[in-house]
Amino acid sequence: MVNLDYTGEAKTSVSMESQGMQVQTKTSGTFSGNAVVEKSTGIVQSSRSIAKATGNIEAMGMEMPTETNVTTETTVKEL
Amino acid sequence: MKRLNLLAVVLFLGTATMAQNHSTIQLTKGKNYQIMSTATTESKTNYQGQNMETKIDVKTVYNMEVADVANGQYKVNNTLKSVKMSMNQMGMDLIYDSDDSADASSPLAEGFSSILNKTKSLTLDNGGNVVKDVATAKDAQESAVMEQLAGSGFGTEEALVALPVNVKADHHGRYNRHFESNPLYGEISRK
Repeated sequence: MVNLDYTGEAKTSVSMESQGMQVQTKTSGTFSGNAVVEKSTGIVQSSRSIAKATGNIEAMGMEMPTETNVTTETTVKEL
Repeated sequence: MKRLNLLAVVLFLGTATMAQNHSTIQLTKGKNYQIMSTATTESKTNYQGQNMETKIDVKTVYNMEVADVANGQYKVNNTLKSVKMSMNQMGMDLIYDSDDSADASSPLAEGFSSILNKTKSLTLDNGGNVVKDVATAKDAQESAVMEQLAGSGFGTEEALVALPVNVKADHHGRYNRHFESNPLYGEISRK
């Protein structure tokens, strides 16, 4: 098993149509976490990450600032 | 507006994972795995001077079957077995539990109905990344929920990390991800 600590940066720039409106979302932020990974396969046994991002949602000529915090936990087991 | 806020949340959620290129995974044909994930998202969006706060808890369970291994690629069959979701926005609560038949008419049920308990066949490269094809592109365009699920490789990104060959037992890494347009097809770089 490998105990993996990681940090990183993520940026998104996405344009899509929602309910007839064109919506442009741009965010940027950081994430960090830890994962226990089976070295021979790359299969995660367990992981926990925290991500923080800020950005803007643009729709109908309006710009809306947005802040997001996400905590994610994952466990994987063989059946 | 609630829909826009949720969209921003799920798009970033899809990016904050750590699958990477340049290393390899090693899956064995015939093996089956259960992937259980919990994501808690708290967001704040300012709309015309007013802050809208949203909290979303999502619990998903996927089953992943390694159907075939060939030419450095993996065919996996992923099935979303259950979803539990609660959403609170400006004092309003929405909940959905796919295991509870009483929630079948929940507004949140609609987004999951096309994927729940249906098997998605995916091709992964040896780095654990979903190989783009017509089917995955169609999935990603279907709805915001499908885009989120497709963006995380229907659970595979949470379950697989391609480790460098010389990785040590206690490894510290730094991963940068940059996405343009659809997260599923974004350019991914690692430093």
